[in-house]
Amino acid sequence: MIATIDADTVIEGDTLEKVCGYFREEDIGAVIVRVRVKNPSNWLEKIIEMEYNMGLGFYLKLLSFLNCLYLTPGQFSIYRKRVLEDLDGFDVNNIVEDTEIAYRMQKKGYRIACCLSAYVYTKVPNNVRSFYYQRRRWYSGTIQTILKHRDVFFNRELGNFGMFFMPVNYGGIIIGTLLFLSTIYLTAQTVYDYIIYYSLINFDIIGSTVNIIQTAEIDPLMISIFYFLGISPFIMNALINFYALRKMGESFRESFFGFICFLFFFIPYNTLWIICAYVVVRNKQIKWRE
Amino acid sequence: MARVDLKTIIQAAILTLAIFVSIYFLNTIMEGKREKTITSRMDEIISDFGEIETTYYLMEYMQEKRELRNNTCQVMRKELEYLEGKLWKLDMKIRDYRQVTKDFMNDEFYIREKAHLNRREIIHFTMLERMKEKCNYRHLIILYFYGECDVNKQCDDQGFVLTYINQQIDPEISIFSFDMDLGLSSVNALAEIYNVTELPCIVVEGKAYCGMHNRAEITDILCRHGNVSICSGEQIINAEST
Repeated sequence: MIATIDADTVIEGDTLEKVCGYFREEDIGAVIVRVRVKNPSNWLEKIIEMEYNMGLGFYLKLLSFLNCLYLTPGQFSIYRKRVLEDLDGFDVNNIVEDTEIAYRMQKKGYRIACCLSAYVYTKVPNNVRSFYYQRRRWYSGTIQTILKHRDVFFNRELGNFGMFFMPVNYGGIIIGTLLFLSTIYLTAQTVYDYIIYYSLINFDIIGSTVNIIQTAEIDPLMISIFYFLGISPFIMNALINFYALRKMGESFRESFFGFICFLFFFIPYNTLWIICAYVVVRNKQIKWRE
Repeated sequence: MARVDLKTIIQAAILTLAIFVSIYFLNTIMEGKREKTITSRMDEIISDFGEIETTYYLMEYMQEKRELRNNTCQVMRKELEYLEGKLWKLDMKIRDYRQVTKDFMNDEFYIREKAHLNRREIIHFTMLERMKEKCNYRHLIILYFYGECDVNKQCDDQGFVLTYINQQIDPEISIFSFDMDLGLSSVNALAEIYNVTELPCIVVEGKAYCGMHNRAEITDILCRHGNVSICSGEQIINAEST
């Protein structure tokens, strides 16, 4: 077996013990573990901690049940040596080689397992600039990898991975990004309307708000279907995240700040996808470090 | 060849569909309740109008007897103020309904209830005018005409300013809003009487001021026709001199 590990990642003592058992099944090409954030201190690290709990933990475990794992996290993964030889190793020209090799494993029929009880600790960006450059590399690399391996979409031979996960996941990202853009547009339109309204009353926002509070009737019936459609992903996300935290033995109280902020993570997430799509389309070079 | 776990995929699809269907049904139920709330308030107003019409005829009869004029004027004033509050709240509710229902221009319920409301407002307006005449009641009446909402997204922006002013000086003014897109003959007749040439248009004490007006302009207009509490000293002096 060959393990890959980031320079800023630390393995827990019993990780290798827990992982090795998965290789008894001959078709297992790689095993991944849960990636956790080491001592998150600032606001960004706490949000990323929540993201890793879900995205590099709970969701990967769920996907492993359907044999839909689409990456072998670069922070730490273990590969069967003969599988790496069969695949001719990593693509050295790819900036997300951990994702790219997972696609080739799926195409060759190898399975990727996830051991949630084993974990490693890694360092994450603690400022917006490093976060931006990290994600720009990740998402641009992912788009390039998808374009390179676009034959996985609706590929029956790849089972759930080709017929379900790839179309649903990336179709969902595209739809989500379009909805995000339309939300931005509608919000901007509403803000513009209210600027016009308040300009007509000399921007007496406080006076108007006081009047509204004193005279308005709060009527929950006057909530349109769009509010429900907008709020329901928040509610579902919150419920799933809460369940996942409990299942993984995390303290909800300690994760509370990250939990709440993570519900709004779709804002930078969708913004970054749009930027990265532009970067890829414009064929700009994406470096490992900026 | 890897297996497609069809059972799981179908279960996921059914769950997703169930969520969307639940939201749709919840909205349908709430829409029904919204309409019921508006209809029941409208029914209350129609019933109140019966009472007011009776009081009005009584007032007409009592007007002949000078010594009873003050009492009947007081009663009439109280009834009209009470009803005006209800009309205003119902108008707000119908507006909220309009905002929630995106396609309000073709929404039958909105068109029907707004038409009912406009008719009641016209009756209320005529009673107020009569009362002003007979009871020397000093009260500014504003008629607000708006429309062309299919071509002009800002068709009801004037309403925002009038709502703001009404919230400041509610007991001193009465505002009646009329949607010209409904094509009601009574509303069209009213617009013609007061020479409404452009939308939006406000009519204050029989004089039409068409086009969009901001807060300062509307305050100025009101102060020309009456001494309301938001008028500055300068505006009162200007009004008196004209």
